[in-house]
Amino acid sequence: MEEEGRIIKRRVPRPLLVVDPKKCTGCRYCQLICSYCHDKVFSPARARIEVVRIESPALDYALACRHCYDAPCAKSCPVEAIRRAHGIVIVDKEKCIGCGECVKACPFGAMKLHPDTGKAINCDLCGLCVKYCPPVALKIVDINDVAIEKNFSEAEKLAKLYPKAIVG
Amino acid sequence: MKVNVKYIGQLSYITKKKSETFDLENETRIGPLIELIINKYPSLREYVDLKRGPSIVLLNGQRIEFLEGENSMVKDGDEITLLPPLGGG
Amino acid sequence: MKAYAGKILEVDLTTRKFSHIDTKKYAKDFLGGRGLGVKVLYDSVGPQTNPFSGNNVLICSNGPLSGTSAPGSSRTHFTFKSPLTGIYGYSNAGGHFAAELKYAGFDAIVVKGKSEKPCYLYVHDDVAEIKDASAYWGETTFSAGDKIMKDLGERYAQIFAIGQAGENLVRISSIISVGNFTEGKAAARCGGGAVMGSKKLKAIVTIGTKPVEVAEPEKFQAEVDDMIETLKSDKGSAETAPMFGTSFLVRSLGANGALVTHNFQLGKFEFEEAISGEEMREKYLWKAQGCYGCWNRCCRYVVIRSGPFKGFAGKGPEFETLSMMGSNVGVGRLDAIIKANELADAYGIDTISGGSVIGFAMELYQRGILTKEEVGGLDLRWGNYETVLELIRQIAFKEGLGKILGEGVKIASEIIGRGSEKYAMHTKGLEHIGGDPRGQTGFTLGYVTAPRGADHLGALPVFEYIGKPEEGIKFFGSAEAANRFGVKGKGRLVKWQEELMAIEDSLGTCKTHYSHFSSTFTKILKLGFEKQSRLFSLATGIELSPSQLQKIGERIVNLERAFNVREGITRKDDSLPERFLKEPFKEGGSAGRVVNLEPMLDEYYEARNWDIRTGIPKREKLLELGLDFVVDEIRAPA
Repeated sequence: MEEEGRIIKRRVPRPLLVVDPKKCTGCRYCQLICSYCHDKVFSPARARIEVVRIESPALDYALACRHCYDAPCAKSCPVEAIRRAHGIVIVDKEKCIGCGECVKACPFGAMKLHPDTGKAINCDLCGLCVKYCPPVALKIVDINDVAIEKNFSEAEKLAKLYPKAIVG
Repeated sequence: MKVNVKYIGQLSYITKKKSETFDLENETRIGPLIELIINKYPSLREYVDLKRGPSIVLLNGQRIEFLEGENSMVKDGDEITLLPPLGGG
Repeated sequence: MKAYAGKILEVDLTTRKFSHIDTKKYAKDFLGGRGLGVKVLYDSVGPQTNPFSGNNVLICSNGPLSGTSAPGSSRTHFTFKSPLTGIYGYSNAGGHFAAELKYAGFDAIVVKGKSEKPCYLYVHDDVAEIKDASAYWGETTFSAGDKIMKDLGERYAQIFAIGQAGENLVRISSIISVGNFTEGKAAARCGGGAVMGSKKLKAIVTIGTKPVEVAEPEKFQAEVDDMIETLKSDKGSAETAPMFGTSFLVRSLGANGALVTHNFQLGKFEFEEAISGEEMREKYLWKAQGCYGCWNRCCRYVVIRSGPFKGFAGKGPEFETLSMMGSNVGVGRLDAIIKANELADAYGIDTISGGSVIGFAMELYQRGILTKEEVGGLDLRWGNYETVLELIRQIAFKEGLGKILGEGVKIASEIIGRGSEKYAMHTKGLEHIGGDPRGQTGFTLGYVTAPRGADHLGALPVFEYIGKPEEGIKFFGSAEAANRFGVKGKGRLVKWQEELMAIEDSLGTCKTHYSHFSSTFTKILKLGFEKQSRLFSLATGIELSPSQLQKIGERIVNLERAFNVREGITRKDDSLPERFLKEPFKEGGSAGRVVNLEPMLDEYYEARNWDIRTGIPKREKLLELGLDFVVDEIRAPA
């Protein structure tokens, strides 16, 4: 995944759609734009992203395919219609028989069967939901960068605790 | 002379206070007073620029457009309110 | 005809029969939502109908833009004859129901008759069922919603439900959104809860998977994209809305000296800062939430971490509740208002009417007209929040003083007598709202002319807060129109705004996107009839110009007026409590002012071409709007 024009060839790209559950408002605009982009209709039932609200206290969570490296959906598919290429898990529409094994296998519930074709659909990282999200809660990140960012923020926290040690 | 200035909504986060008293030497017009306040809090300019707008400035509860605009006189004890440009309900 | 589901469900709870009506019958002339509602109501219900009888009709409708990507297309509309006022009634709420009803295959549900036993309607993918609700009768709105979802096994169901207040036929009861994305959005005014209660209809539940198609997808989305840019670049919608919602109005109206306090006796509240939007953000706000397709995210979600209500996590109050259940009753602490809001939503009581009747009782107590002994020992001093919470409960269960107050302030004052009518703040039987009339003339004209009674949403002329004097001259004939104390131009301003509000309520769109939360009138013009006519045309394939769209708004307003005229309403009812006409405030930003109503009303009737003496729409106007069937029924003057 090219993040800000930086291509790190020595790392396997691991793009991931992430949401900030404090920013997400549960407005479901991502679902509207997803079904519009892929099917030219407005229909959360046909969207490849789900939105869930937990109460007390409220968190809103948008979930989409995580493009797992060792994808359970791909392993479960009886006709080998699911494969991983360029960091993304893809369903081959021609091969898919709509059996639903991948839906059962996915631990996140990110696979669903399209109400019209009956075939499996998942997020293809087109990025439109990110572009449209009203509170800017969605991002496509490289999972490796997420880790690096956490390394730095943890280090910064520690630095504040032990100023003398860092200064010397 | 003393005047009280109130900051509403996100304006109070820029100034880090809900209101404050300004101690001024002479009577002044509202235009220069607003400039004085903006000089103190430069980020307020995008909310209360009388020349560019939109802005809502109240002098004793009345919008200055319906007094003498930026030439409205400010006197001792007056209350000025700076609002984010927005309507009522 | 795209974007619409194409059919309306009609259900008779007495005969248990269903039928479908083709939406085409209403689409071109009335659009949907409120427009569809008034036409159906006018045709089915009249002066002979008792609002609690099986002959009253409840219409639950979304709009043509519901379920599309048009920003803020989240609103559901309820139309009925009001048991509170005895005239035209409606209420409107956000949430996620409207889109879901469209996905379930319906543009509206028309409920007739009465069920013998408690029931709920379950509408899903073209199918409708009447289901037994005995297990939920007696539950709060939230509890009923959770249980229904569990029993149906539908975690994504959208529900509008009544609480115990509606079941008990309390006249100020509300209809609340629950179910998935529970937000407690309230379709609160006019006693819709009691209409559902009288039909023994506990809830309307919907879930659907049908897609919504628009006529020209690329052009439609381009219009949407343009609107999103406008919303992002305006500080009102981009900043104030997500940061505060309408709660910024507490200090804003306070600075204007028009924050309703102590039953409309004062325009300034001593504890204004403690109940302000800024305070909510600092002490209680957990996150902002949004209705379906919302770009403003003005809903508040709050958490209370200390004090007597520690542990509460849920919906935070918007401005009307902050004022009516706060400053109006003297309550100067936010956590108590949050709790009052929760109780009112749980029992299903309108917080505006509820706050008004409690304030009324407190003023009677202040003046010695009601004594402590008479009200079962209740301490009705201003600011006693425990009394407020107790009274909300009493209202819901028709106990003690609550039994009288729950009838609404007009009827309560008639029951109590003793000259208490002077302190009952209502117009046409609907209680007044959180912005004092003495501080905003345009809003006040809107309160007076609104068809359901005292109503800030009938016109919502924010122009008098943000408009420039030049714009007042250009659009409404007078610079005064932009001045909140002005008189000239207000009639024309309110006429224009009313038509815009009628359109928004009929398209299913949220006012905060298209007209409220604006820094400039330019934005309101752009997103008003202009944008909405293009969105409607590109979505449905039915071409409507901005002026044609406005005409439909005018038609709706005139038909609503005709309904009320048929019920006996005339100019004499377009009035205000004496307090606003005779008692100026002594201090604050609106001190020394009273409302000069009659000239504004004259200008309004003239702009509308209604008879100036009676306020009845003239023949010529009705014929112009295609409302010929109305002319004889209301004996329209020439």
